[in-house]
Amino acid sequence: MTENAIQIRGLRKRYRGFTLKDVDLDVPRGFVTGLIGPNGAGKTTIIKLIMNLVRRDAGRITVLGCDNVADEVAVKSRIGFIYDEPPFYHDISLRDSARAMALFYPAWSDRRFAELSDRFGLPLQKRFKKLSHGMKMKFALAVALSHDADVLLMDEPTAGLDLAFRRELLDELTGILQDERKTVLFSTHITADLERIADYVTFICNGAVVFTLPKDELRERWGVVRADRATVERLPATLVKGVRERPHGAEALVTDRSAAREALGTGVVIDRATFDEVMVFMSHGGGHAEAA
Amino acid sequence: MLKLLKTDLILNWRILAWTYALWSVLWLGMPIMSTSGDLTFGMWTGMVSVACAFLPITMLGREDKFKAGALLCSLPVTRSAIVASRYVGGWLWALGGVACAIVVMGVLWLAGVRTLLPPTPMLPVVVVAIVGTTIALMMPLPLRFGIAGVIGFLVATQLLGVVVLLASALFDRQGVRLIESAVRAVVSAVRGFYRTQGPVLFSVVVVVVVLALNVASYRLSTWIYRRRDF
Repeated sequence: MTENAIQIRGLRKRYRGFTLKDVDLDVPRGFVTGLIGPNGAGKTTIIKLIMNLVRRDAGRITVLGCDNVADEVAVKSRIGFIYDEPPFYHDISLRDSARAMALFYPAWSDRRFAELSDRFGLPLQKRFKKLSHGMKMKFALAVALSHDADVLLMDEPTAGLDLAFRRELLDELTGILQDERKTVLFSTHITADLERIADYVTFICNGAVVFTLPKDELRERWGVVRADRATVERLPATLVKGVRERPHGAEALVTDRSAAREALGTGVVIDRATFDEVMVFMSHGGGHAEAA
Repeated sequence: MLKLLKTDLILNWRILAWTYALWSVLWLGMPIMSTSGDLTFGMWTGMVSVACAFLPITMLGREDKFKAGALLCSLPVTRSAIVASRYVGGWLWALGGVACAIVVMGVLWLAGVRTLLPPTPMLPVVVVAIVGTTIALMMPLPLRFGIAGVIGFLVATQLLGVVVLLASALFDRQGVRLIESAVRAVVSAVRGFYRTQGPVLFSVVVVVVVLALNVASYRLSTWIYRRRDF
């Protein structure tokens, strides 16, 4: 059995116009879990709840076996947290910002921070506001990795980055994580990020967790049936996660391509489902959706 | 606590240094420009104290501007410790500002520029009362509403003054007289207490009241801050 670094049970948070609905989520230790879903699905809320930045209405969160509220200090000292917009003081140099952060972490390593700063090409004497968004994210990553955190929480770390910088950041992250086997939970609505670094995928929509699966299972087993409407309707309901009407037929997202092939025979097109397709189908609540 | 105070210093040292330096120079002008020659050291220090008491509020304004409250709350530290550091730091930075101004004024005095009437022994009590009361009253606002809360409060009090003046002009002065007599009664009671009990007991009572106000304010701020979502 895989040990969980983060365990969430019955988590609820109500805002005006949005409710996170009794979320259960397990984040396996030593793996990268991607939290994916459309904008406003509740990804950031879950991450903020883990960090106790917002108050939960119900439920329980444990991080590395400790309650995230009762053992707040112990939990946070083992988490490296990266915001989509890192909120460092704009008029303070990177060196001073890092110095301020270092005070709070007993495991902070100046040597590690210097190594990462070199690796990322961070100009430590510069003020935070002088950095590009990509460099700001790299600085946040360097800070998060310099205190030997066991868990990395990242809220949309690649949002707003251009493709080249996004790849560079993810490659750096992957390289570091391969060496250290840290647990990572990151939210994103960019499916390509999942392809690159995630081991597990959790899909969240309208404040509810729809599924958590190993990325490889999703990639290898899930598929999209493209056929006429009558053929699609022959699929067993247990296999179908969503159906889209198309101008010349219909498409169905299925959880097992082999089973779908068995049910429909060889003459039907069944492709591997891309993450984008999964997201589009699932964002419509797993029901029927009109083609865009 | 010490870590939070150090962090405040690292992140705000520039604003602290500039404010101390600039205000010290500006405040020197106040007694020099006073032609009547009756500006006492105590009165001058009182005005300096009011300005300095807003220094920690300004620092919280910076935190609000950069949305750094979320960063602070993501560090391994409890929210009650953060609030406590706001109060302790607030006192330190404000009293530091007053001390800085007094030292500069003292140097001027020693240099032979007799700008102020000599201080009275009650000077430290005046400083503590002004700094402590301002911090106790103001601190919950930025912790809950950010700097917008402070600005809103100040604007609201100004507007209240205008409304009271307008109301007294338009209607009768009965209400204003009531307020005036209430204020006079409080002032006279305080003076009476000072006369009958002497400066030592008076000072002790003032300090205790100010500390009690700060404890109450701290509790309210902690309650508020624990419930704040970032």
